[in-house]
Amino acid sequence: MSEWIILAASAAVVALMVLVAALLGFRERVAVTEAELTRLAEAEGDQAERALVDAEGRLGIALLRSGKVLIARAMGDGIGARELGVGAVRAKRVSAGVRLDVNDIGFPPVVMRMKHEPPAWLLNLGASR
Amino acid sequence: LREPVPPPFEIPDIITYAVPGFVALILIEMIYVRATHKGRYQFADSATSLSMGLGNQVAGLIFGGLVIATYFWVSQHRLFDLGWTWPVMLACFFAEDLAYYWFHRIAHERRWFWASHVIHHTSQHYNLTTALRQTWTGAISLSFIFWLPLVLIGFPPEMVLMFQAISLVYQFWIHTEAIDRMGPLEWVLNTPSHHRVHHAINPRYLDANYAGVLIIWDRLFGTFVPEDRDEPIRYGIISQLGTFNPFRVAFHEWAGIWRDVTNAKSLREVLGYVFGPPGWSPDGSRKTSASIKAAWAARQQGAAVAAE
Repeated sequence: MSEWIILAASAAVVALMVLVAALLGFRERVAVTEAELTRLAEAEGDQAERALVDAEGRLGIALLRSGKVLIARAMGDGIGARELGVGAVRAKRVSAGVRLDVNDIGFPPVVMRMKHEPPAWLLNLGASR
Repeated sequence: LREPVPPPFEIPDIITYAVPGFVALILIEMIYVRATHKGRYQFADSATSLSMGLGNQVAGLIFGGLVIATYFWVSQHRLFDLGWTWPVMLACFFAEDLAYYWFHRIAHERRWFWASHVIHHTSQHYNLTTALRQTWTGAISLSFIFWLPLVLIGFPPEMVLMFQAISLVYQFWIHTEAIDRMGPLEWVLNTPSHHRVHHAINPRYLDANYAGVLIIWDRLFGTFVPEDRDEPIRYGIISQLGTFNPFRVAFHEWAGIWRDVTNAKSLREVLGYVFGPPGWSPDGSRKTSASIKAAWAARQQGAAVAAE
């Protein structure tokens, strides 16, 4: 029983610390940009040939010279990026934009909200799978 | 049946007693980072780290008994009765730290154990909340087997558990960017500087500094890499996560193993995916630490030749 009381107290303390972090203003956010996609590709010894960023800067995708795909997602003040084989990314048109799925629970599916009509190369991703 | 030699004193719940200190130090570090900008915090990242710590506590309540029961069962077959004396306790401290080193090294080198340990490395930040980003599946992955030889030799199970708890508490405070170097202590102890290197994903820093309390094991076994002030550290994992969801963080590598094993075409592939290095693939198309370091070394060599 005492273990569960300690657990409940721990949960309360966790909530307090998260609240303090929020109050201290640790809420910085970065946006994904085409320049960032280019930099990430170059860091992998590759080059971005085509790049696209969603309307809110939350997500970017680039086709690389090597034939791979780079997906970058804004994660608070950092960016989570994946370099994948072209067949590993599945794009699907949805009402809000284009849904990208990389079949990895550590990188959940996400919808790219587009200001313009999505390009054919994006919609063709994973079409051959 | 041979019962273990009981401790001559009551062993306190070391981790529970340390928790108020953890909380105070995190709050102090947050204020320090806000005031000085030495280090980084992010609200969502910290929330995930702290939730992982809470989940680890729940996992301990569910599976902890199984681990302790295994220790006591093995103790019944111990080779020697070492008992509770000061020399034995000193020897146990070193033996526990050595066991931790090998557990930690293999947890980075073999995907089965990495699937559990990777959780601790998933933050792109390095602060005291990162220390609490702990696995939920340590018992399931049988990580505790690395300490069983100590019990088999004859160290009392409670003694081994006590030094494991001390090591865990020690390792909390080294998860910070607020402390630079610590002079001569850097030779012997695992310090914030040494452990920053361990959490780095810069190629030159991969697979280094596995120490728990004493850095001597890394120096002895050739895995020590010092922090280079000229190379800013990038934290996290090679394939950074795209989620703050604690459940996705906890199970993503296990799901990856499952996906790979169900698509494997031979027993060799199954074994490679489960027990090979993280990133292993039959055709070598994925990145492992070794391939990343080799590519980096080749680039460095190419740059050096070009400079000449």
